[in-house]
Amino acid sequence: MLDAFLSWTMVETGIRFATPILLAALGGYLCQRAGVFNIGLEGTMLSGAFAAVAASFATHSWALGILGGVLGGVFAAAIFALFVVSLRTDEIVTGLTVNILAVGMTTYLLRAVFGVQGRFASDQIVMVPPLGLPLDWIPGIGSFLSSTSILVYLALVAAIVINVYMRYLPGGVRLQAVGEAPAALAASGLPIARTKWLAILVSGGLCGLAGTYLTIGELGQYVDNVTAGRGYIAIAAFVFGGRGVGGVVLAAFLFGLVDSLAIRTQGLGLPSNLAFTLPYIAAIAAITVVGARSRRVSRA
Amino acid sequence: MSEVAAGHLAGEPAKVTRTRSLARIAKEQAANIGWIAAALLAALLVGAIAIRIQGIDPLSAYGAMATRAFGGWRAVGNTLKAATPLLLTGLGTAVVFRAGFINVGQEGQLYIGALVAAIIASADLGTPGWLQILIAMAAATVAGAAWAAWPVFLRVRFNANEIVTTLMSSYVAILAISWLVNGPLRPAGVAVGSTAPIRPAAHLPFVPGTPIGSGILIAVAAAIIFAVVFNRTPLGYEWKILGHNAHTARYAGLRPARLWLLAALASGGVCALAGAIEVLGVQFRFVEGLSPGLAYVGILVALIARFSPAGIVLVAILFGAINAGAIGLEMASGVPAQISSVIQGLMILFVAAQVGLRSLIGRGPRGSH
Repeated sequence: MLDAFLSWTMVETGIRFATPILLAALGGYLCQRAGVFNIGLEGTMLSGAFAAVAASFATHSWALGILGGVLGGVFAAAIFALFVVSLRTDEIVTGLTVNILAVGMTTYLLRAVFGVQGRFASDQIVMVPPLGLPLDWIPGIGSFLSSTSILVYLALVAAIVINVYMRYLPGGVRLQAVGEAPAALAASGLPIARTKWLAILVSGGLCGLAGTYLTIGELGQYVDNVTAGRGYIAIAAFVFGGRGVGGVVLAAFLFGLVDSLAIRTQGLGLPSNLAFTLPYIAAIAAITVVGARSRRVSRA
Repeated sequence: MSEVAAGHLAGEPAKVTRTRSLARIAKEQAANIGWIAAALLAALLVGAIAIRIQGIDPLSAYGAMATRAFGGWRAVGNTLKAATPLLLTGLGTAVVFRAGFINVGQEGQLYIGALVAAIIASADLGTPGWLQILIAMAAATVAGAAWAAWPVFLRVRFNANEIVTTLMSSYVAILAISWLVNGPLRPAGVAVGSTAPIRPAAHLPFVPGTPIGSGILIAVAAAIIFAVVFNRTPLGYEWKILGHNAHTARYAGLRPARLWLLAALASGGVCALAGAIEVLGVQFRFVEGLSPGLAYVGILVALIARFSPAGIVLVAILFGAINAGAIGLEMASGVPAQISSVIQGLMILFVAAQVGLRSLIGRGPRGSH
C-alpha cells in the first residue's frame, strides 16, 4: 500500500497541482514583501482563467491565450491596486471584493459572451502544448518532464527570476524596504506607491498565469469558479513558505502533494469529496503552525 | 493585522460617545444612505453600459427589473425571500468584524445550518409542525455556532490567521456535506445530492394573508436583537473597543478570547439560521449547491452597511430586490440574470472608493497612513 503513495505518478501529479498554487503564491509573496496582504489572489486567478479561455478561443492561439490570461489577471490586480494603494481602502475588504466581483463578472460574461452556463467547452480552445525537452532518458520522471506543459516550466522560471530580483537587484531590495520600513523610505523620497503598484500588477500577471494553467493548461475548458479556493491555498503557501522564495516553492509543492494524495486516497476507497477536503485541512494546519511559530518568536 | 483591518472597517469608532445626540445620529445615517445611493447609481450606470452593449435599452431593462422586484405583493414576497439569507449572513459578518475577528467562513456556516435543519425537519419526530420548525432552527443555530468556534481557538491559542482558517473552513464544510448528501444521507432513487424532502408540516408558514414568507420576520427580529446588543449592552461596547484596538482593549482588562468566541458563536448561529430558513421556507430539502455564494453577498451587504444592523436590513432588501429583479430582467430582455452580482460587486467598490476618497480629502476615519 505504501508504494501506492510514494510513486513517481504521485510526484508528477503533485507538480501539476502545485503549479497554479506556486504561481499565485509567488504573486502573494511579492505583495507581502511590499507590505500589501493580497487576499484577492483567488479572484485575480479566476479572472485570468476566464480571459485565457476567451483569448485562446477567439484567436486559436495558445500563446495569445497565455497573454490574455496574464492581462486578465493584471486587470483584476489593477482594480485592487487602484483601491488599496491609490484610494487607500482596506486591503482585506478590497481583496474580498475582488474575489466576489470576479465570480460575478465571470459567470455574467460566460452567459453574455458565450451564451452558456456553468462551463464552456469548445474544440476551438487551443491548449498550451508541452515544452518537449528531450528528457525522456531520465529514469522515473523523464517522460513527465518532456511531456509536461510549458507553464510548469514558466512557474519555475518565475520563481528563479523573483528570487534573483529580490536578493540581488536594487529594485527587489527597495521593494522589501517598502514593506518593512515605509516611513524611512518615504523620508528618503523613494516612490512607495509606485513600488506597491508594480508588485500588485506583477502578482496579477502571475495569478493570471495560474488561472491560464488551470484552464488552457490542464482542463481545456472553462468551468464556473474553476479556481475552487486555490488562491486561498496560495495564501497559506506563501505565509507558510516564510521570507524566502525557496520556502514558497517548497510550500507550494507540499500543497500540490497533498492534492495528489487526495486523488490517491480516492483510488483506495475514500469518497472523493471527503478526500478533497485534505488540501484545505492542510492549509489550516500550515497557518496554525506559522502562527504558533510567530508567537514563539515574538515572546522570545 | 486583523485588528487594524477591523478598525478601518468599523466606520468611525473613534467617535464613540454616550451622549451622541439623536440629531447627530440622524445626520450621520442620512449621509451614509446618501453615499450608498450614490454608489448604487454609479453601479447601475456601469450596468446600463453592459446592457447597452448587448443591444438592449437599459431603461426598459431596469423597468422590467423594478417591476419584478416590487410590482405587487408576490414580487415583494420574492424580494424579501431573496433578502432574508443576505440579511442574516450580513448580521453574521457584522458581529465578528465589529469585534475585530475577521471570520469569512459564513458560507460554510450557512451550509451546516441548512443540512442540520433538513435532517431534523425531514425526520418523523412525532411533534407538531411548529415545534419541529423550532427544533430544526435551534439545532441548526447550535451546529453553526459550534462550527464557527474552532477558528477562534486556533487564533487565540496558536495565533493562526483567522481569515485563512475561516475561508478554508467553508471549503471543508461544503465538501464534507457534499459527501454526506451524495452518500449516507441521500434517499434512494434520487439523482442529485440531497436529503429527503422535509415534512409538509415543517414548512415555514407565510405571513397570514400574504405571499410573504415568515423568514424575513425572523431575520428582522435578529437584526433588532443585534442592534440592541451592539448599542445598548456592555458586550456590544466591548466588541467595539476590541475591534477598534486590541491593545487598548487588553489594557482595559477585556479578554479577547471570550469576546471573540461570543462573536463567532453569534456569527455561526445566525448564518446557520439563514441556511435553515432556506431549507424550511424556500427549498424544502437540502440540495447540493443550495447556496450560490449567498453568504459572500451577505459579507458585501455588511460592508456596505458599515456593520450597522439597520443599514444591513436596508441593503439586504436592496440586494434582494436586485437578485429577484434580475430574473425579470432576463425574462424580459435576455440579459443574463448574473448581472445582479456585477451590480452588487461594483456597488461595494464604489462604497469603498468613497471611504478612500474621503480619507484622502482628510475628513474620513483614516487620518494617518
